[in-house]
Amino acid sequence: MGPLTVWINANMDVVLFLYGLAFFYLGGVIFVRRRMESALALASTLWLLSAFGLTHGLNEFLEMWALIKRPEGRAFFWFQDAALAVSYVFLLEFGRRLLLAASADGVACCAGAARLLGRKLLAPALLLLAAAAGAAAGGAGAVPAFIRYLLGFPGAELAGLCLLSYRKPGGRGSRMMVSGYFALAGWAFLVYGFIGGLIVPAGSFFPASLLNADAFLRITGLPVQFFRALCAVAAVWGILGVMRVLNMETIAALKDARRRLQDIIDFLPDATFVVDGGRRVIAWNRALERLTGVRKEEMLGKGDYAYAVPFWGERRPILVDLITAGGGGEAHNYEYVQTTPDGALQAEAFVPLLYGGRGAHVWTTASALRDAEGNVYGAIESVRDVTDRRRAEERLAESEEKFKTLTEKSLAGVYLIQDGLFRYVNPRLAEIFGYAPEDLTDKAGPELLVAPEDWPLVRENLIKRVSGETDSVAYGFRGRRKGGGTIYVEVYGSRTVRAGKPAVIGTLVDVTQRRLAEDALQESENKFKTLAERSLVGIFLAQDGVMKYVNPKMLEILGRTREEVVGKMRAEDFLLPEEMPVVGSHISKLLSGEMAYDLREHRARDKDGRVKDIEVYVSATAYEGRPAIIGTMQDITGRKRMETALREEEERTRLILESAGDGIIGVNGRGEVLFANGAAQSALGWTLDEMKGRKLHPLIHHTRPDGSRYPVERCPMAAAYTDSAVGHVEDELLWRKDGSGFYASYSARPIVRAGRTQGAVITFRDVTARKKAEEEVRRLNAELEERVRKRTEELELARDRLVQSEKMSAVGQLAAGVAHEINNPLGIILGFAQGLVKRMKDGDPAAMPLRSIEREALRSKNLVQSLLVFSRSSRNEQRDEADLDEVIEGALPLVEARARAGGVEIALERSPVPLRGQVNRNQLQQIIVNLANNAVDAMPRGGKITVRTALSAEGRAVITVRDTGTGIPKEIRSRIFEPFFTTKEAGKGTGLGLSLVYEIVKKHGGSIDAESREGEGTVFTIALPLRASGKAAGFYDRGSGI
Amino acid sequence: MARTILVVDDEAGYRDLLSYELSGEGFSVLTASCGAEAMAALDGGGVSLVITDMRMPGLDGLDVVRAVTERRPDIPVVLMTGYAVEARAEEACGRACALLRKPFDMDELKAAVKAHSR
Repeated sequence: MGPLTVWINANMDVVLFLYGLAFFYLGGVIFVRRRMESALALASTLWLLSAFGLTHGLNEFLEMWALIKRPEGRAFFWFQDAALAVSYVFLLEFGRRLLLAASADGVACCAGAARLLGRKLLAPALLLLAAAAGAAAGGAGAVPAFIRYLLGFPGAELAGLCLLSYRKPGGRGSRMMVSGYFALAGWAFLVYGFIGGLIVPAGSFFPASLLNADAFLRITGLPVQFFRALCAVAAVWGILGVMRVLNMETIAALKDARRRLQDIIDFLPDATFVVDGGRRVIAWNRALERLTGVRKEEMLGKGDYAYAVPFWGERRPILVDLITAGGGGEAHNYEYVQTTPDGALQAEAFVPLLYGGRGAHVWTTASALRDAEGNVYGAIESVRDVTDRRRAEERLAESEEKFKTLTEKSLAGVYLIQDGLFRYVNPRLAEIFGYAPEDLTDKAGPELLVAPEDWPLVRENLIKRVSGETDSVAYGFRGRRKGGGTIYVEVYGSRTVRAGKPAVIGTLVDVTQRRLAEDALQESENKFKTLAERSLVGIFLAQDGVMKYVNPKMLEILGRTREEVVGKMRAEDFLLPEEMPVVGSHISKLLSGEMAYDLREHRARDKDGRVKDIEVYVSATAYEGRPAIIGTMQDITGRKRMETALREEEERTRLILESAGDGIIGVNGRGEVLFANGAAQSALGWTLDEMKGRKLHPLIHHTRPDGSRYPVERCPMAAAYTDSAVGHVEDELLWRKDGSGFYASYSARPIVRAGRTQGAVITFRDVTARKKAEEEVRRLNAELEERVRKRTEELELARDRLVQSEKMSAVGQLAAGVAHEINNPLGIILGFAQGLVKRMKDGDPAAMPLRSIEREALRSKNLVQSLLVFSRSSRNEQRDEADLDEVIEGALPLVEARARAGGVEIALERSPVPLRGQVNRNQLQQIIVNLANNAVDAMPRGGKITVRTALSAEGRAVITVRDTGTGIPKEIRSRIFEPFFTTKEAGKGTGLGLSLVYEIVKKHGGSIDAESREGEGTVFTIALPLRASGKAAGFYDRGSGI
Repeated sequence: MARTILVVDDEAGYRDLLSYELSGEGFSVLTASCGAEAMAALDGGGVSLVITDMRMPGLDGLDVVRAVTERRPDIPVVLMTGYAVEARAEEACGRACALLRKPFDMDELKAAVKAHSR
């Protein structure tokens, strides 16, 4: 205790003053430095401490006043108590907040305690409690004590503990310099809590009755306020120390920060510079050096728009100046300038001077630097080379543009659905459904466009994709157009993410046309199938040489069942082998495209072996993607037969027409030539092609014989096709192509079909020859009449001969019959006679009569022989082809003996032209023999016989036998050919020679004539046709020299 | 050479004539007046030559020739005919040995008989 104690007790007012001052000072300092920057949350609680300090300081000043001045009024004490209460409320609040701040600053504290004490209303609640308790305990005077108990004590302890805990390692406050101050302040508050919070003025209640200031005084000898003052000073010292250090740290941190900022700015990737309020450059970073080529040292401190030079080449305001100018200023050279919400400016420009002249697109931002009060103390501008980005943006924009164009112009609908609405539709999609894009985007959902019956399916698919169950899906459904029409659509959609949320994106195609086409195709297929199946023409499709499809008619034609044909039957199973080479080559031509189609007839054989004619029409096609042959087949066997018959019929008709000797021309109703046969063409000199289509009348019938024009109206040919008149003209002049004319007889008849005249047929015949003949006849007639007179007696002669020939024919027959009958008896008589004569001895008286019998029988035999020869000619008609001269020459030896004996010379003058004809050799020779014999008889003193042969103009052989004999008297000339007429004495001749000759000549169809002059000779002229005509030539000949 | 000749002729005169003449030549002669008798005579045997007329009623000379060539081809036949041209006769003569035309000389007949009776 000592003197210090005494002093202290005596000067408690000073102590209280210091006490109050200390806290008051603390409060004031904190108040003044309240904007101290600190990272610690602690700093934000200090104002409470300040409040406590000020109010508690006031409280102690008041106590000091009370000690000095000893006021009496209760108001003073009330005021003092109020100040105390308030100050301890602040203290408690400080403690509480400090606890919270400490946990926020990472200082380890009881989290539970923090929660408990975290109630804001803690302080007021405790205050009320204190008031209540105090009042309950000992009246108004006890309240301050309870305030100290409930507010002061806990508050100080809290503050102390927390402050102490700041010094612990790990906390933010654990830097060495500060920790000491924290300890001091912490302990000070802890102690203060006890002595200020628990040591109360004596009171009647517990614990004040024991633990009070009086007791303290007794024990320590010093008033508790003294110690409180010490605590206060210590606490203040500690707190201020903390603050100072924090401040220093703050400043250091600030400096540090500033330097760091400099570094940061310097190494910022963006080119950055900073100007102060006077527009002087205070920072110029490395990136800006690279961008502009201007070094930091050149720019720092420079003002007056020096920073604009590297960009724009001159000193002038740029973006940053717009900031510092407070929004005014120009903005040239920038593409745009926009203000951000927090007041910064952004702009873009192309700056040509950058990178040493290469230039670059830059994005620049400038913002103001403000201090704590919000005053602008400078500005910072960043410049970013966005050339690449710009290019990328341009490319992106291009690509976007492309994509947009694609999407916008796509013929498929494109859509994006999110949250049940279309977020995007391209024009096509909207168009498909009859809307405009703006009707749908963000306004309508897919349900609008889907037909109600298909909505459940579509909805389910959308859900599946949104949920991620299926990623993408393609399907079709019925859509609903604006106005209600139904369409068929197909979508291909998949899941995507847009703005962080699932969405569905897809393409949509209107397949209505396709569906309709498919339906139509199906219907058409059905139609075709029906047609094909019911067709009366066989229809088939073959591929790879085998039938793939046949309709029922085909089966009928093929004569097989479906199982035997489809997939099995080949062409060679059906067509005849000789057809196959042609078929094979045509099929390959069809398949290669060389031929488009082939229509052909073939011969084929059905299963039973019957041969048929078929007509096949094929072309190439594709079937299931590969080449195939498709065609029709018809059984034309019947038709072919008919065609053949028809053709043959036509051919016959044509042949008839062409072979006709008469010209046949067909004309139509206008008289134009439709047809002309060969005879007409050659007669008229026009070919059919030259005549066809031309009017007939002007062509062949234009002029009359007298040279005048022949009008068509009068022509009977025209009348046939105009008036249906039948006409016939005997002698009409027709004209040839070469202008010459000829006479023809023609008939014109109309062609009538179904009651109408459709044309006419004109047949004509060239009658030139006939006319010539008629001419000739006329001429000949004249001659004839002339000759009639001349030939009268020859006519009589011929008539006689005719009579004679009849006679002779009868005689001949008689002779033959008699001869034959007589032959036998004659033969017997002769035989016996000869026999007897042979047996006769000479001198026998019967010899002479028997010899006479023999002689006469012999004579009879000769006679009969002659008769037979004579009549033989009527029976032996056989004629052979022979050379007449040869035959005649062969006859001469028969006569030679007699001729020589009679001194007659025979000469033969042959024809210069060979005479070949049908003659009976024997008979011809007989003629010669007989005539020659007669000639010899006519020349008893010898002479010459000339036999001459020649060919007449009419083609007859003319044989003349001339002698130089006595001739034939005129009066008997007409009788020389009579049978049995002879000029010889009885027994010398039979009289049959010439009649035989006559017979023979007559039988050959020839003629014989005799001319004679008495004493000069006789000429017999025989004319024989070289070809037998079966009937006698006319007897009327013109004498010798035919 | 006692040969037998068969003479076939419907004319009695010829039968007599031939018998007379041929017997005078030393032949024995059989006669027939028609084809049927001639067959019978043939069948009788012994005939070495046949002389037959062409024209006979019933079986004519050709029939005789045929029959002879069938039955007795070894027997020669001489045909007689009064008809100058007899195609059938000439055809038949191809088979027969000789053809004689009536009326003929007895010398002719005898010559033919001698020629064909060897």
